[in-house]
This record gives sequence, C-alpha cells and structure tokens, in this order.
Amino acid sequence: MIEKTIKGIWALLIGLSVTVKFFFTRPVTMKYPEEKREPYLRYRGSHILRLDEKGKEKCVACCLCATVCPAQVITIEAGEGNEHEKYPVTFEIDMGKCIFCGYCVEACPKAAIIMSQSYELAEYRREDLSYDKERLIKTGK
Amino acid sequence: MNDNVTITIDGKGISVPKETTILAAARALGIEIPTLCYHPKLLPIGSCRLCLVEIEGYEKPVASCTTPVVDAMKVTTQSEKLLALRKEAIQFMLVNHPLDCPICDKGGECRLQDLAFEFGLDQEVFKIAASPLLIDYLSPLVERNNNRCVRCGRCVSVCNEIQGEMAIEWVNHGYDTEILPRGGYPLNCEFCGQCIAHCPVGALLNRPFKYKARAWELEKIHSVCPYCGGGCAIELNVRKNKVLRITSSYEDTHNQGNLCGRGNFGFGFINNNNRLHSPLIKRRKDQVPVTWEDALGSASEQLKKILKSSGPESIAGLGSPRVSNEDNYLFQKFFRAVIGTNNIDSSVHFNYRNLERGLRATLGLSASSHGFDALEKAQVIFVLGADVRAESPPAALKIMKMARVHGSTLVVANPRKTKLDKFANVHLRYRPGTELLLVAGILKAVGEKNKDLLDNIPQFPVLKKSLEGIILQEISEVTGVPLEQIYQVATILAKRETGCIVFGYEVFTHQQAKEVVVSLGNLAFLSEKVSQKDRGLIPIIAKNNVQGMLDMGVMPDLLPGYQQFEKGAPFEKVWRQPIPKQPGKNAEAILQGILDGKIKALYLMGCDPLMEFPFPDKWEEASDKLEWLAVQDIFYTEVATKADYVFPAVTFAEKEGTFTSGERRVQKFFPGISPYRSALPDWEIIQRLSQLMGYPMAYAHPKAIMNEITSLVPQYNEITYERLGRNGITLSSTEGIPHFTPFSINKVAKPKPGSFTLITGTAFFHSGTLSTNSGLTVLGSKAWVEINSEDAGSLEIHEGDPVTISSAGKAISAAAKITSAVPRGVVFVPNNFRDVQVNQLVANQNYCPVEVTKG
Repeated sequence: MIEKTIKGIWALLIGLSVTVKFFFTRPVTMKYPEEKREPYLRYRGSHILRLDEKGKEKCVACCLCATVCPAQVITIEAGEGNEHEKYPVTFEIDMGKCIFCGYCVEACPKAAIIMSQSYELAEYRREDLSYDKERLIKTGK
Repeated sequence: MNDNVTITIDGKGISVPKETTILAAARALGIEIPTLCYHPKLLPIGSCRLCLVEIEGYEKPVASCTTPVVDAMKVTTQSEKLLALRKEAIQFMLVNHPLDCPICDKGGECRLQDLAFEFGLDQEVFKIAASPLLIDYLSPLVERNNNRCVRCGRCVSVCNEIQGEMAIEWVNHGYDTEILPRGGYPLNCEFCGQCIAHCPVGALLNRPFKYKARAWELEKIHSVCPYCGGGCAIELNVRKNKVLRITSSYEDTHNQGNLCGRGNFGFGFINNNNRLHSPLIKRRKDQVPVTWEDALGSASEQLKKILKSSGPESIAGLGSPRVSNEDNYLFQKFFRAVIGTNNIDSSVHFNYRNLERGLRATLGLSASSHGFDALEKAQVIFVLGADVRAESPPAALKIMKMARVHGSTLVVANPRKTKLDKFANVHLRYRPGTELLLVAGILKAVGEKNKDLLDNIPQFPVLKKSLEGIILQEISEVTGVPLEQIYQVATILAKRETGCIVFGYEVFTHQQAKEVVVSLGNLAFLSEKVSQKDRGLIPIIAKNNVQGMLDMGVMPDLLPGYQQFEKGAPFEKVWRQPIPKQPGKNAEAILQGILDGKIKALYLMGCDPLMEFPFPDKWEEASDKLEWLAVQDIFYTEVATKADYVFPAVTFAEKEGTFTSGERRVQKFFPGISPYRSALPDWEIIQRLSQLMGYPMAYAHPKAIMNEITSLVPQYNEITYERLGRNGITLSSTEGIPHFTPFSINKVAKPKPGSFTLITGTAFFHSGTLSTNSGLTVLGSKAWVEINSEDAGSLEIHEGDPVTISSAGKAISAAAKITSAVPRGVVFVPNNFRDVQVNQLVANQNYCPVEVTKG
C-alpha cells in the first residue's frame, strides 16, 4: 500500500517536472494578434499591383495572369488610355478563391503583380474578399 | 498531251500539273514548309523568305511559293542550311518588330510569334536603334502600326487582288520600305477590314476590337452574316457573353474568309444598349413595361375579340427578310392556321417579290438559276441595274476577280457609276427607269444579228411578237444609250462562252419589275440558245433572308414552297386546321384596308413600314387608326412608338436557326450569347401567342420547325437540319421548263432637259436599322445627296451644302456630295437612313422626277 503511494507520488513528480521545465523555456506560440509573426521572404500573401515611377500601374492588361490562374480568380478588362497605352480598367482578384500558388507573378511579363507578405485576409462579408484595382495597388503602399 | 510533271520532294515522288508551285506540291504531299507572306487565295508574294528550299543542281536556295515545278526536279525542304536561313529570316523580321506582345491584340494568333516559338528564338540577335514610325490613330475602324509591320505585303495584295480597292501601297525602297495608305493618312477606302484579317502580325488592328480581349479568350461560334443576300459564313468572337468581333476563316467557308465592312464592323447592334429589353403595353397614352405573361395575355385577349367581332380578314401581318426561316414559317403559320387569313406580306412586296414571278414565268425557277460559283466560271458577265458592291459585296468580289484576273468580258449597265465600272469592258449609262426598254433593245439586237439561227427555233415567234413595236433608234434615244453600244452588248452576249446576267435593286424596284425580270429571263434563254453555252441568271439581293422568307410563304397569294392554295391539303393535315383558299391582301391592300377601316389588327415582325415602305405618311396615318398593333423588333423603331404591344425579339447572335441566301444556300447559325435581358426569339414569341390564342404549338427547338418545313416545302426536301454543315446546302430551283415569254412594255417619257430625276439605292457602308445602330456610324450616319459637279455648279451648290429635293408637295433635305458618279440631271440619295425618307418621293418605283434647290 505504502509502496504504491510512493510510486504514485514519484510518477506525479516526473510528470510535473516536464511541466515545470516548460515554465523556464521560450513558448512556441505567439500572443496573436497582439504580436505578429514575420513571414519568410518567399511567403505568398495577398497580391500587389505595382506602380511605375510615374505613378501609373505597371500592368498592361495582357491577361497572362488571368490565363494562367488555375483557380480563375483574376478578372481584367483592358482599356485604351489617353496616350493610346493599354491599361487595366478593372483588375479584380477574388481572394476567397485564390489558392496563392503564385503563377500569376511568374507569368507577368512586366513584373506588375507581386505577392505581399500580408496574410490577414479575413473579412466579415464575402464581397469584401474581391479586391479591386485600387485595393491591390494600396496593399503595396 | 500530258500536262503533268513529276518531281521528288524529300525523296517522295509526286505528279502535279504544270505551273504548280513547289510549295503547293509539297503541301499536297503533306510536307510542311514554314511560310508567312504566302496565302493560298493571293498570288505568291515571295517576301518573307521562309519557304526557301534547295533544288538539286541549283546553286542557291529558292522560294518555294513562287517557283513553279519543272520535270524531274529534286527538292529538299529540310536541311541544316535551310534551317539556319529560315532562322535568320525570322531574326531579321524581329530587328524592327517591337516585342510588345503583351499589349498587341494579335498576341496569341500572330504568325511571327508562332514562328519565333517554333524555331526557338527567344532573343533578339540583331539590334538596331529604333526609329519609331507614325502610328495611324486617325483612320476610323482600322489602326495601322507600321512599327510592327514585317513588310510581307499581304495587305497590299488583298486590297488589290481581292477587293480591287488599291487603297494602300508600298512606299520607299530597301530598309525604309513602308506600307501606307494611298494619299497618306487617314485611310480613305471602303473599310472592308480585309487588310486586318490578312495581316500575319499586329500591324493592322481592328479598332472597335482594340484591347477588348486576348485571342485565346475568345470563343468562336459559327454563324451567318446578317446583312446582304450573299450569306457569308462568319464566326462570332465571344467573350463574357459579348460579341467582340467577327471573323471568317479561309479554310472552311464558301466566302473564302472574305468579308466586307458591314460584315466585319457592323455587329454593334447586338450589344447595343438601346435595344428593346422588356415587353411594352400601351395603357392610356403611355407604353409601360410589363411581363411577357401580361403582354401576351392581353394581346391575345384583344386579338381574340377582334377575331370574334370582325372576322379573320380584319387581321393582317407583315414579316421580315431579316429573321430566320423558322421564324418566318411560324409567322405565316400563325396567320394561316391560327387566325385563318392569308393577309400576310412584307416589304419585299415592293421589290424582290417580282423576282420569283418573273423567273417562274420564263425559266420556271423560283430562285436564281445558279449559285455564285457560276460567276467564277462566267466569261461574259452582264450587270444590269445593280450596285453590286453595295448590295452584295461577296458577289462583287467574284465579278471583279473574273474581270481583272481571268479576263472575262464585263458589261455594266447602271444609271450611275458604280465600283464595277472601273473593271468593265463596256459600261452603259441609261436613264433611270428605262431598264425594260434597254433589255428589250438588246433582245431585239440579238434577234436581228442572229436571224437565221433564231428562225429555226419554233418558240421564238412568241418573243418576236413582244418585240414587234420596238425600234432600236427610239430605244437608244429614250434610254440614252448609243445604238452601237446596244449592238455591242448584243454581240458580247451571243459569244460562245459561258456567262451570267446579274441584276439588282434598280430592276426590283422598277415600276414593271416583273416584266423586266421576264425580259431578262428571255435574254438569258435567248443568249443561251444563240451562244449554245450556259447563261446564269443571278439576282443580287441586298437583304439576308429575302429568298428564305419567300420560300417560307410570307406572301398573300402562295403557300410555303410557292404552292397554290388548292394544293394545301398536306398543310391542312400537318397543321390540323383548314386554311383559307382565297389569296389575302398584299402590303398595298393592307394599307388601304387599314385606311378603310376593314383591317383592325396588324402584327409586325421585324418590319417598320414607316421606314421601309413607300408612302410612309399614309402608313403613319394607318398605324394611328389600328385597334391592335403589335410590333416585334429588336429596336424601338418609329412604328413601335405607336404600338399597343411591343415584343422585344433577339438578334441572330442570340438564337439558332437557318437563313437562305440569295443563291439559295441554306445555312445554319448558332447562338453566341444569351438573349438580351427579357428578349425572346421570334419563333418563341409567336409560339406563345399562338398557344394563348388556343392553337397548340409546341416546338422545343428551331430544329423541330425545320423538320416540319422540310416535310412540307418541296424545295427543302433535300435537306435535314442535321445535314446542314458549315457552309450549308445550296438548293436547286428548277421547277419548270424555260421558254420564251411575252411581256409588255410601258412607255417611258423622256425627261425634259434641265429637269432632275431622283434615284435611290443602298449606301455602301449601311443597310438600315442594324447598321445604323452599330460601329459603322463612324463612317457616317446621315443620308446625303449625290449630285453631278456640273449641275452643282449651275445651282451654286458646294460640297456639304444642304440640298432640298421636292416632288408633288413632298420634300427631303440632305447634305450635298458633289461627284461625277451620277450623270447630269440625276441625283442619288441612299435609302438606308432614318433621317431622310426617300421613299416619300420615289414611292413604289425606282425613280422620280424632282426639283432640286439649294438650302
């Protein structure tokens, strides 16, 4: 009986020692959202449409990203600008369906679309998951 | 003598006719030689140097597209040396070609892009400081970017050889070579868009399509051009439920991929936001949008009331040569089986309806005697009263080709100068309205010249009697055609060569149109007898489904298939309804009936009498008098503003069905996009109305309607809906035996010197409601008055001045266009525009004496 009790306490101490050991090590979790994790450089977050030095979008609406996109979430309507240049009148990405594969970035001949490290993409309304051109440009700023 | 030569290409032997090029022989063997400037329908250009091949015994490689075969030639098409040369040729093209594929509309269907990919060229090897050339942003519809041009010369060739327009030319030499519009920018041509379609790179762009889509995003749907009676096979290029451009491929179409300006750029009406989108009902004074159930429910209730109180003869309908065979068939079935009247007609009553009457009387035909392919064999072509280029461009292309490339003798007779005059051996400028006299004169002249031969033909006296009172000297005076020219034409027509007689709008709108067609039938039969060679009689029809509509029986006096009412038993059996045996009222009688109060209800399908018919003012009065007026159309036309019921219909691009072209080619078209808002196909509207009227119609698909047509219309017996392939089926039309037919000639008064005659016809860029609601309006959307420069001088009229043309108290006004195309004393006003109603003046004939004043 006594032997049994001692064994039990010993086992309890072994168990608690594991717990106590972790009191003195760094925690693996973060206090998200107070603290935020820095993603790796190659992390593929939400998209950015880049601007050129004149402040115009680099995108020429060639639609290669929309063509290569496996989830078919990119919608582009091209238009003719004042100097006959081609530019995207609308450029939309439906983040709700995006699989963040990064093919669009690879396909872009003008390096106009890149992926940010932003991963906080949750929204209250489904419609808000569809990013229009202004929002995609803003993400980069 | 054996004209074949035997050659060996890459070790494979083949025997081909002399004058075959090496390229053609290699393709026949299935050996692929890369090309860029070569196009099978153009003469070889030989500018790209990609098709180089080596020939045993020849020091240097030669271009296979331009080199004809020689007996026992040994050709090598693939070698390391050739590959290097081809690669170099492409690299040279890329020297000046900007790598702007991402923004170039051609990207994805560009020959140069494909070649660079095929040869694995991903670098610009040769580099040069770029000196940008001018990009043409001025011309409408076509944009030329010579920076992208590879100087292959296809656009110049297609413009010269196919279109006969010669609007662009080579400029400069050597490195500075450029292709520019003749006379510089902006382009001034017929805007057919053929240069765009044949440019292998993106140097020529379709401006309405610019930046609208990438080539690979487009879905191509087979369809038929909705403009003229040529019935060109087209493809609707659709992206996201919008038609963005029209194309036609060389390989699988009967028109060899050739399209005109209307075909290429005139599709804008499909996506037009002004289209009718909801059924309307007139409540008190305003038309209000309602649901289909309400509109059709109310329309059928009211129609039933009129049917009960005033009988079937108080109801009439007017069909349209713009809608499909199936729609027209159901429309006439609605009147004959549901209402029980033959009061059904169309705008064609005033013109093309006479065609079948005249042809049946002489040659026993119900449509043109031959297809357009007869034009491609014709050594003699006589064109009477047709501006073929405007009325049916595909026929004009064939005629031009025969006259220019194959050396056929072309005779063009028209009161004004048309494009074909440029290529004609003889052109007769007769006075407006004297077509019948001219043909009678030619008949007489042929008779005189071949007296011995003709007296042996037992039937000839019939014709001789009709020609008895004719004195050629008088004919020459009244028509204004010199006597020797009449004899000249008579000699040409009696030549022992195959030939065609082509006739158009001036003939169909002639006050004795049927007689003119009869006289032309006689002329074809007579010249066939004299020359002992085939003579085709080919009408030029300016609206796409005139032939189909008539075949479907949208006329008051005959059933579908031109069958008499006595032979209506099969119809009664299938329709399970007795059909009235009395011929109904034609369009003129319908108008009179409405004015007299006998006709109380009118159903218009794709038809605007205020625009298309003679006496528009009377029609306006009539449309106010009607108790029940339903208008079924795609646009809110003038007559729709007066309608009690407006039913929105869909365009050809939103439904399935068949059209029958002027050469009686039955072709199928498919829907490219979904119906515009709540618009419905015409057949479905008729079917639903019919059901509400208490007559069951339950066609699930236009196919079911076509099956009924093929079982009841003898001419369509040989087709089935499934068998209609890409190019449809051309139906034969012989139903009787050709014979000489007497005809009577009314006197035509010689116009007083100094007086003016008004003539009308088709404007080249326009057609009517469809074209004036499309992108073609950039080429002008208002009517004009063509006046001779000498007349303009004496009236002190300058280009663009407003001109008033008046006759019998009515007047029209439009801007002057000073030209030498119309002779002195004649003014021409196109009849395709809503702003000027020429029909008010010319009524139901093809000319009208008028007074012309400035202001």
